[in-house]
Amino acid sequence: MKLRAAIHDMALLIAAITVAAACNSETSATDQPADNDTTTTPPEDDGGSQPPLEPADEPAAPFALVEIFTSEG
Amino acid sequence: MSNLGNGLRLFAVEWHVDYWDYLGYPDPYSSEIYTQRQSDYLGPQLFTPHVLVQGQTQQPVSSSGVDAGVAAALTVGVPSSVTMWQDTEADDLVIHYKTLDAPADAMLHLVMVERGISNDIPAGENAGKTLHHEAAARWYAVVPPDRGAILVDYPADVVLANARFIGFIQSPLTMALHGATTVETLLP
Repeated sequence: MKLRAAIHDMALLIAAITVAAACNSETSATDQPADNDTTTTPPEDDGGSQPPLEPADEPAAPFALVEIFTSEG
Repeated sequence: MSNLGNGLRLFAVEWHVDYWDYLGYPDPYSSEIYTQRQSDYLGPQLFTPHVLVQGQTQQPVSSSGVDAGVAAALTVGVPSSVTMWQDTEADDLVIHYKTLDAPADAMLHLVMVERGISNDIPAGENAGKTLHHEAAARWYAVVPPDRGAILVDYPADVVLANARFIGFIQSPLTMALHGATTVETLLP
């Protein structure tokens, strides 16, 4: 049925989108200085100005949110 | 870690609605709250599959249309930011969050998505198929922005190693999106 095909296509589409996001995440991660990366300057210790569990505020940055409403049934 | 820096900040959520569950196979990932979210977009005239990019319904749906929508969204600055982190010292799964510059009417939406799901469908319209999901919503909460923490009472069958959280700020009337982030789930 057309609906089935559409659902299958959407599953592939969402998988492709998610894989793209994951690939970008990995790229981003490798762009960050590693702890043992001696070729970059490690971030300065902030002296504990942030509670240990709480990260610094993330900047407001462009993003894309893709949503799909679907059903297996 | 959230997807910042030079990487694209592209987030995907697959919401499984429950209004087809009577047709012979109840979707195990469906929830009425996901259906309610679709109603927030569409009102009473619901349908699947329904794809949105940045809160805008894609009709007709095509990969090229989604690509174009994503590309456009990634060029538009946003006013707000979201930061999330997990309380690794808690016995339960607790997510902390804080926002900056969220519009007064906006809410913070928190969703756990799970990847790597494969499901053999025994009945219903998709009987005999194996369906795969890479961003299925498994838990969802809407909270006021600013700062807080929430206990995540996720379903027992979620594989936490395959789960992540996405948080986004959205206005309830216009459905406009103002900021977002993501964070991997750590084992509690």
